[in-house]
Amino acid sequence: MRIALLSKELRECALYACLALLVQIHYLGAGMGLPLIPFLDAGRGFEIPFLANNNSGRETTFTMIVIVAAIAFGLHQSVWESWRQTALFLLHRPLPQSQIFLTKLAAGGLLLLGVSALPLLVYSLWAATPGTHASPFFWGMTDSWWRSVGIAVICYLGAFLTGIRPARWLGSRTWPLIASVVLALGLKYAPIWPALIYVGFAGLAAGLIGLIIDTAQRREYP
Amino acid sequence: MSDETLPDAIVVEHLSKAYGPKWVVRDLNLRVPTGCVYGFLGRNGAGKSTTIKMLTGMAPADAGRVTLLGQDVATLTPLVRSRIAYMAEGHPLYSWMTIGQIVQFTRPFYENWDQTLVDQILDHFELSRKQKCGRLSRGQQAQVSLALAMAPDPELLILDDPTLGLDTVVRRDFLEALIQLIQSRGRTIFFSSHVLGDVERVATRIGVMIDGVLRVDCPTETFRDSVRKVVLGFNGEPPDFPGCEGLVTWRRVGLELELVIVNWGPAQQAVVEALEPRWTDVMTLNLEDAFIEYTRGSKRSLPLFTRGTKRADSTVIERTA
Repeated sequence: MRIALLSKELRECALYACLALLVQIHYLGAGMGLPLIPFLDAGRGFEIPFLANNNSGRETTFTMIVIVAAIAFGLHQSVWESWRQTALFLLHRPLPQSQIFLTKLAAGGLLLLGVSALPLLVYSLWAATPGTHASPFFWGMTDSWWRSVGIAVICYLGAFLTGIRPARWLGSRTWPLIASVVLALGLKYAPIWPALIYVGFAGLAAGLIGLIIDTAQRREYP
Repeated sequence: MSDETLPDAIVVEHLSKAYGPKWVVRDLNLRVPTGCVYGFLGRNGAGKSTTIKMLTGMAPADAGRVTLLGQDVATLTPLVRSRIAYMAEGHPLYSWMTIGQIVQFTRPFYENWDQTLVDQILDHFELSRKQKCGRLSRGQQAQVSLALAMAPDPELLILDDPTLGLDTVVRRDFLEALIQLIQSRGRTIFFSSHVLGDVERVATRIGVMIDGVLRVDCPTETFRDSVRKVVLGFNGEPPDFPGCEGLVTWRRVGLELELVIVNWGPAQQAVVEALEPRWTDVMTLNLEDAFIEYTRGSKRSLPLFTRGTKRADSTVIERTA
């Protein structure tokens, strides 16, 4: 039954995931000299992969894409279900509510990793392969990019919480998302030991998952 | 084992819910015996849907307790939930799925899924497995929901206005299928409806909610037989009605005084006769009329036209000059 639910969730977000993946393939492919749509990446010339503060803006683009995808997944999985009233259908299935929501989050997490971590890994492996480009590479150079993946995960959970959280007006409803973005960005640029940043992301994610499960069990479904 | 020895399928104790300062459901106490078909009635906003959501755990109660098949709804285990079918108002289904896909999606959740029954119901309603749920009419969505609800062979069905928005023919088909399934399996059904004719056909017991309070909880026939509409005719302005036991409401309509009385008998008749009306009509009502008279209170719609209203559906059982 969890497989059925997982597969439903993956299918429902497949369109957003495909779009995000295509954009990633284009921009990261361009970094490898193989843009999906060549004229959109013309004139950038050679760049050193993962070089901090380079002016190609590839990391910024990557971060923006994964944040937008994360918010789209989170809101779609939560708001859509309530809005179409299918939550009443789904939540009456004989599976504990917490497991239903954890399965939804697992599906969203998988998709998010698919459009962020997977392309990043491919790009990193390409950069780590000798002979692909005339510049140095060591894995520590990818650290900032992986932090962007952490931001995306937090934004996804924040968007999901915003979607299921009942509130009287949009301002108070969106605070989990706004707070998540702010906290995640703060963590990314925090002047602390890198490992602590990842621990921070993990702690933040665990807290948000706890809040999501708690809110889901307390709220009324329309 | 006889029905009397079976535990109640639904037990509701002191259930309350408020939205802000307004009580939507107030101190609701209710028992639905196993095997009963219970019609849950009330006007719009009376608290029916909120009650049903609390029954199924889709809305948290502010106070009180609900027990379904012997287990508290707040801690309902998946095993007990699998013995309960719930059809929400409007029959929400995933619009992007085909009928075949939604059956395939729902099936793994249940151990005792009766695919033959699903196929029989879908074939009976001539529904193709390839049709998308989003393109189905309301009636077809109800039919698919019914198939999905019945497939796990539930012991208890909770249906929130299952015939809402269906045309007469589809509604009749749906109800006949429902009745067949009830009769063949002897299950408990709790359903809300606005279509009193449907309730009269199906329900063995009814409950009537008025402003969040359960005012009636009795066998359907008892309710229908105990509500009387009494019309008193006067030569001039009718007097105020002094009140009597069982009086639900009274109102003046031109030169007539209309009373709605539960359990009409000699005591009430004596109070009426003391007013010295020119004539008195005591009318039995069908369920729909009884419900309307019982729930509409002192407000009347279109009072301008009431003097010419014929009482074609009611039977005059007594008229005194």
